[in-house]
Amino acid sequence: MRSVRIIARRELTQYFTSPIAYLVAFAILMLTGWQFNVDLARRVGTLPPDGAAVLGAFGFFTVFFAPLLTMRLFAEEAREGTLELMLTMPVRDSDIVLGKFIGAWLYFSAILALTLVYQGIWLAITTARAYELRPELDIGPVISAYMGIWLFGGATLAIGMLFSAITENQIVAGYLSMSALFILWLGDFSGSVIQNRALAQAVRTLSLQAHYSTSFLIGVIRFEDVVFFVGLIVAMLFITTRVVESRRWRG
Amino acid sequence: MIEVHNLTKRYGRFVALDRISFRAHQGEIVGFLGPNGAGKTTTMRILSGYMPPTDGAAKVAGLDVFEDSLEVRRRVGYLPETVPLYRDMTTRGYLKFVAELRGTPHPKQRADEALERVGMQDRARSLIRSLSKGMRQRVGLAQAIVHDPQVLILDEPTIGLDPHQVQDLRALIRELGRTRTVLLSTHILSEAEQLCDRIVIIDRGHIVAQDTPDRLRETLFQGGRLFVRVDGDTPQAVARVLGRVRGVEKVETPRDGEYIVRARAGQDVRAALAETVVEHGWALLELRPWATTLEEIFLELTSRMDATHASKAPKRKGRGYA
Amino acid sequence: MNAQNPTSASLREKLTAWAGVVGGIALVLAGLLYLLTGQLSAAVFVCVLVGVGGLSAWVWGNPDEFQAWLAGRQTRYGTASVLVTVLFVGLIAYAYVLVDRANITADLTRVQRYTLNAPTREAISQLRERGFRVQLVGFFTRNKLREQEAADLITRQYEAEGRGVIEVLYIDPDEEPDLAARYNYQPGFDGTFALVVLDEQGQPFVREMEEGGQPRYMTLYLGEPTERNITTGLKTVASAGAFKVYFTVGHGERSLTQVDDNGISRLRASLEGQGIAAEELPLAEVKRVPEDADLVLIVGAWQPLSEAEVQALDEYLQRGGRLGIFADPPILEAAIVGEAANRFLAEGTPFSDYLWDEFGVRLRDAFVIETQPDLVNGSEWMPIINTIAPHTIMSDVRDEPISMRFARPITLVDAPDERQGRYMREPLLFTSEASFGEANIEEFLTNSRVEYNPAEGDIPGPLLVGVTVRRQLEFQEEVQPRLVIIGDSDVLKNEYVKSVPGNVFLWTDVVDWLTGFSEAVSFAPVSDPTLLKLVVSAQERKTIAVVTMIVLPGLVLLSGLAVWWYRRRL
Repeated sequence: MRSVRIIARRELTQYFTSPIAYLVAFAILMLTGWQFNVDLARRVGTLPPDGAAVLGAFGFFTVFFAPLLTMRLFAEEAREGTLELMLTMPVRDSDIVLGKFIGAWLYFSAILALTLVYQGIWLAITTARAYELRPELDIGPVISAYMGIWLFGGATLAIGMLFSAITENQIVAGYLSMSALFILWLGDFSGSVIQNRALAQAVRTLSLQAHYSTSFLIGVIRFEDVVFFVGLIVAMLFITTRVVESRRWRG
Repeated sequence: MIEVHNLTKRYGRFVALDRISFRAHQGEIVGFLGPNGAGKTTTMRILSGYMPPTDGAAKVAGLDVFEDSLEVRRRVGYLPETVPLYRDMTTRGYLKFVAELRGTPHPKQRADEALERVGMQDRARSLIRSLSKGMRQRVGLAQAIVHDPQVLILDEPTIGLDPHQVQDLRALIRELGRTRTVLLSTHILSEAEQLCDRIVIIDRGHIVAQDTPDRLRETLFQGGRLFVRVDGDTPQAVARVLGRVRGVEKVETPRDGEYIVRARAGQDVRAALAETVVEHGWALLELRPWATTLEEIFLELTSRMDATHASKAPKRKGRGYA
Repeated sequence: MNAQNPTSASLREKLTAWAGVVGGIALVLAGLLYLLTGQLSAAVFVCVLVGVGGLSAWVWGNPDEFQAWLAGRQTRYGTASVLVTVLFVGLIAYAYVLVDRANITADLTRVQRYTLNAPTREAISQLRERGFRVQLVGFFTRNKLREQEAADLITRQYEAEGRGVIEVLYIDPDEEPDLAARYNYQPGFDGTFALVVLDEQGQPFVREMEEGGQPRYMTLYLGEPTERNITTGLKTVASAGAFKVYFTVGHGERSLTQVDDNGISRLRASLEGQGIAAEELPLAEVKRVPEDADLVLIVGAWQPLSEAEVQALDEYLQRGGRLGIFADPPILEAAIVGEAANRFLAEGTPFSDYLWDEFGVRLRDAFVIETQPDLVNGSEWMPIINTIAPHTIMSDVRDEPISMRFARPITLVDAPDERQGRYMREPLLFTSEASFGEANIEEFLTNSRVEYNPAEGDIPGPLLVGVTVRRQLEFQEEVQPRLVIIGDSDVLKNEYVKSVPGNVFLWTDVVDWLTGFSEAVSFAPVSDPTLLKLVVSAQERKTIAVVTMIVLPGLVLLSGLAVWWYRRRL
C-alpha cells in the first residue's frame, strides 16, 4: 500500500502541475456552469430545484474528458521508457496500476468537487430568504448522485487506463477510450437501435449510464449498481495489470 | 554477486538467449560486449527483474531473480538503455520518488547525495525536460544508485554522449565499481577494454568468450595467426607463394596487400615468411601477430560463431518445439 | 522431424490455446445462465460441454503451459493468464447477478419517493390476508427500456413486499402481441401497467374467449407506474375481497352461469376480476339475507316475491343493506317467448306494496314505447336513454349511450308520508320526451297495437327508468340502506355488456355506489415540500451566472497559468 500511495501521489502531482489538467477543469466548469444556468432558468416558476440535474450533464462530459486524464497514464510511460523503470522497482505490478488509477481518480474527484459550488448555490437560494411555499432542496438525491457520478467516473477512468496500457500512443489510447465510453454511454438507449430485445437489454445492462440515470441520479442507491461500478473498476484494473504484466513476457 | 546459470530466454520461437552462464563478483566491473541484438539487453532485463527467464537460473546477491523478484529489485540499480525520466518532474523530485519507491530510508537526503555523486547538485530544482543529454544520462545514473545498491546494471550507459561526457561518466562508473558489482553493456570495445575487469562477449544468444581483456588477447594469439603486409605482385601470386612456405596452413586475403597467414600448430613461421618475401624481391611492410586489438578479437570470435551456427540452426529449431 | 513439423505444432498450440479461452468463457457463461434462469437447461449443458472440451483441448495441446500453471509458475504470458482473467471477470458477473436479485436499495429522497409507503404496505398485507394473488403487468416496448427499469425500482419492491402474493410481468407488445392482447393491451399503453387477479392455479381470470380460443383476461388498467396508481389498484382488489354480492335465485332471474347473450355471466366475471365474490341467494330457502352480504341483486325476476321473502329483504335493508333491482315490464317478453306473464313487482304484490310504502317507489305495469325517429336498431322497444340526471353515481361525466330493451317505467311518490319521507329518491335515468308508457297490456296482447292514449292510463314521456334511494341526511346516523331500481334487466345481459360501454359504466357505477367501493380504495398522496416550484429573482440569476460562468472558471484558469509560469522558469 505504501508504494500505491507514492505512485498515486506522483500522478496527482503530475496532474496539478500540468497545464492541460487546468484546461480540462476550466472546460468542465464552463460546460457545467452553462448547464447549471440553463437548468436554473428552466426551473424558475415551473419546477422544484434539483441538485442532481447538473451532475447528469457532468456525467456526459466525463465521457469526453476522462480519456484526456487517462490516455497518458501508461502510453506515455511506455514511450518514454519510464515503464521499464517502474517494472524494475520493488513494487508489484498491481500496485503500479492501482496507484495510477487512484491518482487519476483523486484528480477526477477534485474536478467533481468543483461542482459542489452549484449545490452551495442551490442551498443558498432555497434557504436564504423566507417566502411562502419556499421549495426545499432534497439533499438525498444530491448525495446519491455524487456517489453515482464518482463511481461512474472511476469506471470511465479504469476503462481509459486499460486502453492506455494496451497502446503506446496516447492519442490512439485517448481516441479508443473515448469511442468505447461513448458507445457504452449510448448503450442506455440501445432499445431504440437494436432490434432484438434481449440483446438490447444485455447491451443496456453493460452500459454505464443505465446504472446511474435511473437510480443514483434520482436519489436511489441500488446495491447492484454499486457492485456494477466497483466490479467494473476491479475487473478493468485486473485486466490492466495483466496487460502491463504481459510486457514482461513479450519483451 | 551475480550468478547466471544456463539462462535461456525465448520469445515465441525466437531464442534470444541460449543457456548462457557467467558470474560477476563484488568489486568487479563486468562488461557485456556484443553487436546489437546479441542478447545483452535481454540478459540485463532478466537480472533487473524486468522479465522472467524461460529457463535456467539467475541469482543476484544469492537471490533468484524470479522467485525473489521484489527482493532482487531492491538490491539492484538498473539504468535501461533509454534513460527512464519523467520530463515534467524536477531532478530532485524524480530521485526522491525513485528512492521512496525503492523503500530507502530518508529519501530526500539520499536523492541529494545521489545528485552530488553525479555532480548535479546545482540542477536539483531544474525540470528534467530542460536538461542536456549528458545531464539526463547522469540523472539516470543517479536514479540507479539512489538506494545504494550492491549491484548496478547499466545498459549502454555512454551511448549518445560527447567524448568529454563519456570520460566523466566512465570515471564515475569506475569509482562506483570499486565497492559494488557493476554489469555494463556496450558495443564500444575500447570502452569495455578501458573500464572492465572482465569482459563477456555475447553473440546471438551465446557467450562466445569471457575473460579479462588482457587474457582474451593472449588466448586468441595462441591461435598462431600472423598479419602480413606486402608490396609486390598481385595478391593471388603473393598468397600462392606464401602458402607454399613450410609450416603455413592457410592464407587469407582480407584486403589488397594484406594477408592473414595461419601456421600449423606449434610452428613459428615468421622468419621463413620474411625470408620468402625478400627472396621474391617484394617489400615487407608489416609482420605481426593477428588479433591484438579487441576489435579484431571480436570479429574473429563472431565469425567463428557464424560457422557453428550454420550447422546448428535447424537442430535448434527442432529442439524448441519437440 | 520434417520441415513442416514446427509449423503444424505451433498451429495446434495456437488453436488449442484459443479453445482453452473459449472453454473458459463457455464455463462462465454456463454458470451465469444457470444463475439467471435457475434451471439446468440445454443451453447450460451445451456451455458446460464446450467449456470442458475447450479446456481439455488446451491441456492436450499445451501440456507445458498447463504444467507450469499447475506449478504456479508462469513461464510466459499465455492461455492460463487469459483464463484467470476470464474467470475473474466471470466471478464479478456472478456477484452482480446475485446482488441484482437481492434487491438491496437505499432511498435517499426526503419523502421516500421510491420506497413503499405505509398505506401501500397495508394494502399488500390486506391482499395477503384475504388470500389474493395478483399480477402487475407492465407493457414496455424496446423503446421504453429505461422507463421499464425506472418502473422496476418500484414494482420490484411490491414484488418483494408481496412475498409471492404479487407477481410482476413485463410484456413487450411488439414481441408478444398475442400475450399483450390477452391482457387487453391497446395502442398508447406502452410504458403503463395493468393489474390482474390470479385464481388458485395462478392463472388470470378469463373475461371471455375470443374466436380461435384466445382468452382475454380480466384486467384493471393502472396507467403510469406510480406508487399511487399501483396501490390504488391493489386496494381495489384487496377491498373487493371484503365485498360479497348475492344474486337472488328462484324467481326466474337471469342466471350467473348462463354464458349466452341473455345470461349475465359477464357480470360475474367482472366482479370476480376485481376480486368481488359473487354468489347465488335462494331467498325462499335461507329465509334471512346472510350477514356477509354487501349487496343483494335481483336481476330479471319473473315470479313475485312471497311475504316471507319481502320480510327478509326488509330486515336486511333495515340493518343497512343494499339492494339492486333490475326489473322487466310484465307481459312483453312473455308475449314473445310464450311464457307465463311476468308477475314480479306487479302492482298489488307484496314486494311492490313494500317498495311503495317504505321507499315511495313503484314500478309500473307498463312498458316504454319509443316514438322518436332515430330509433336504436329501428326498434320502438328500445328506448333512447338521453337523460342521465346529475347524480353522485355518475361521478364522471359519461356520454356513452346505454342500451335497454323493454323498459319499465317507474313512478315516485309526490307527497311522501312520514315513512317515505325518511328517504331521498334521486332519479337516475330517463327516456326521451317522445316516448310514452303503454299501460294497456291487454290491448297489446290481443291486437299487438300500441297507441298513446292517456285516457287508458298511458304515461307520457320522459319516463323515469332508473332511480336511487337512500336515507335523508338526518336519518343517516344509524344505518344507511341504499337501493337502485332500474326498469330493465336486459341492460345487464351479456349481449349488451359485451358491446355497449355505457352499460358497463352503468353497472360498475351502480355496484360502486351501492357497496361504497371507491371510498374504500381511495389513497391519500404524501405531501412533499421538495416538490414546490423554484423561485429565484432575475438579479440573483445574474449574480449566479457571473459567479459560475466567469469567476470560477477564471480562477481555475488563473491558477493553471500561475503553475505554468512558475514551472516555465525551472
